[in-house]
Amino acid sequence: MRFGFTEDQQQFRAHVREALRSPEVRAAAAEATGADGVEPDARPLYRLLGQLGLLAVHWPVEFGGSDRPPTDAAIVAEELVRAGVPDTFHVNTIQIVGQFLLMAGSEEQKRRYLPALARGESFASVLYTEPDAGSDLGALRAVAEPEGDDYRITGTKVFSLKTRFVDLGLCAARTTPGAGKYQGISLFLVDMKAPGVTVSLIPGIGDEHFHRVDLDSVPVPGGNLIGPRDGGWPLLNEALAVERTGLDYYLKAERWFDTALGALIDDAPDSGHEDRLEQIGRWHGALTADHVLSWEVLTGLAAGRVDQLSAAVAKYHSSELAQSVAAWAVGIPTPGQRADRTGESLILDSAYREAPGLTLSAGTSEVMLQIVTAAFESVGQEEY
Amino acid sequence: MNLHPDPLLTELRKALRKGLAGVEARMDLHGAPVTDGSSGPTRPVLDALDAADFERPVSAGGLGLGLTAGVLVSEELGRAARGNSYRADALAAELGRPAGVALAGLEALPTGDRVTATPVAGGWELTGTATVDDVSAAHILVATRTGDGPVLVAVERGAAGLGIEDACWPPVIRFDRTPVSVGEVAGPLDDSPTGPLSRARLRQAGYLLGIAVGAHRTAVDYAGFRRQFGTRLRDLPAVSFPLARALVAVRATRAAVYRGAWLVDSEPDAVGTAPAVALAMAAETARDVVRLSMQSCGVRAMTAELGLHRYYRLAAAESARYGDPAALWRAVGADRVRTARRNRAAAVLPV
Repeated sequence: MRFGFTEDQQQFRAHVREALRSPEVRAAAAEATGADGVEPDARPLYRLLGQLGLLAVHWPVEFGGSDRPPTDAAIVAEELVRAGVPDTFHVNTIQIVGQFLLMAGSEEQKRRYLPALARGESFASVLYTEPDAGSDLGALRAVAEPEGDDYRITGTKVFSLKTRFVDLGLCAARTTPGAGKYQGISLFLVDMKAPGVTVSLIPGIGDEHFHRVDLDSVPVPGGNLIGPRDGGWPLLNEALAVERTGLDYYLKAERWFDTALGALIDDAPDSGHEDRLEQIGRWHGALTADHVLSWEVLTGLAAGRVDQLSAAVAKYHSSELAQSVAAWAVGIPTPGQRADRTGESLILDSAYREAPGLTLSAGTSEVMLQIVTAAFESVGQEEY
Repeated sequence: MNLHPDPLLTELRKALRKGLAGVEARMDLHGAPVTDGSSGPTRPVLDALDAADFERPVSAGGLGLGLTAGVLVSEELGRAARGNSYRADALAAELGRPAGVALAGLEALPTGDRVTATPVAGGWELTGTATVDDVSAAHILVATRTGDGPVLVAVERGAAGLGIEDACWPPVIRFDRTPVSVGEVAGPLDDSPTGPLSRARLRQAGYLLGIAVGAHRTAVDYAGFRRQFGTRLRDLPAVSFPLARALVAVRATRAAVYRGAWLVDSEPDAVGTAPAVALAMAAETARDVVRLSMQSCGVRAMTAELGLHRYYRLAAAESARYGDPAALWRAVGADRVRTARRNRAAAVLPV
């Protein structure tokens, strides 16, 4: 086991950090950061990051990447958040949809879509959840009806983020209705500018709002079917496990914790803050462990291992931790700091409003516990 | 990072598990639940594997497996709910002292505050009452404080003013103006990131992790066949979800404990508060997971039927043996605030 980073990884991190500290990136990141329920368009920032070659470093060169190891992509993700880059576009476009294409897409699909995603010129969103199919994704009703070699998708998708800004939607729909709850589901890339697509806003308490996507007989070329027809369910499950590294939640928790410490120190630079030390120590310890749990999943994935139990543990721990840190940290800024609308007070207010979504997205905490519980049947003595 | 388990350590774990399964457990409901100390019943298992050589550097004739191996040994002892025959000798070896010692007074924070060392000609007189882990050892390494800070001093079992109370558990040692000479100072016991105290804390964290793991495994197994309301307990979310949360806590604790050991072995400059984090987290995880495991198994857990009572008794004694977790967290928090203040100052300084 090795709990530290190699020299090459450290050098790469330093290179990424330096690139992200440029005045241009800093200014664009500030412009892209929401507050008070206002969600700016972060695409200009991502175009800049795309030009710097930072969005998909682990993808093959032919698809817009730099052929670096998958763990280097995690290093980039860490540095993006630490530099104050809002990460939803990166998570949705690169880490979920792009990664899914890389995993299950055809060569033609990869060539057509991945380079623009890597350059920050095209963006993607996930269209899984429906009004009556949340955690129970097998209850989805959207239908993709064949039309020659192509399809027409009809249905309603809800609660996705950034959707009004994106070009592509990774959409789950039934290609064989009546085949069974988990059978007959396929995955498609939908052009969000296609006729029949209507995107509307569902305002939420966070600075990033939700969307409703109504698909009314939307034409989808047969070439946009990802993976085998009717074979979407196993792909979805594999993609969800790949998505659940917990790293994005860890990074939020780390940022909010550091921000809270900054607010404390700004308010009373010479104080020992004795009344808060025990809790600060606990957060520090929990964050330390959480980082390892995420990297356990990441290094497993890099070695080709998809471990559902480790992913569920990491996702549960990191999202619950981030939410708890947010609930604590929102009470740290003083009335004066809130009145002055300091950077820390705005970040922590935003964090508190974002936090309820962390234990819901990418599988609720209850679903994660269910996965852990199911593993009790198969986890051998050696796993303990 | 590469967090795939080292195959050698995996084999070592299997061997320990097999050996410890053959050590008879003390199933008494009252009195000591385990026999601690270097001559305890788990010692032959460790000797058969040459465990004393695990941590010793290759240059000193050992196997050079590092503290990580010592933590693993400790974890397996805790998982088996057997007495700890490893920790005292491992600490003694680091201080260049012979094996066969007991440890006393490590529960106090700040370190060494339980037993007072009053200067006298040629040394000190020890006074105070502290927890000890082995009532039969010929020598006891006692944590105390001299003008040089916290230290361990070696005291002979028959020294004047020394008394051991073993009617309670864990046993207690009393000092009443017990003389010790300057030559009996075994070594410093400061918070040096890779010093003897930090290493001992990580071994103890491993032991506590093992206690949590063993209790949890027992509860998961029991809840897998015990039926109520027409179904297995494990199929009831009210039972299974707390057990699932406990597994998450165990895995997080394992991450903190083995990260700490790896840092001591491989990146000593980066250790920082990792040993204190590991110990505090493992202590609280052991307490919480054992308590939950007792609840999951119902009244039988309070009898000798499942053996869980041993974990329950151990968790209470061992979670405080190297200090109150809350005090450890405060120390970690203070360090974190200092770091944040330094970073803040560096960020605003003109380049």
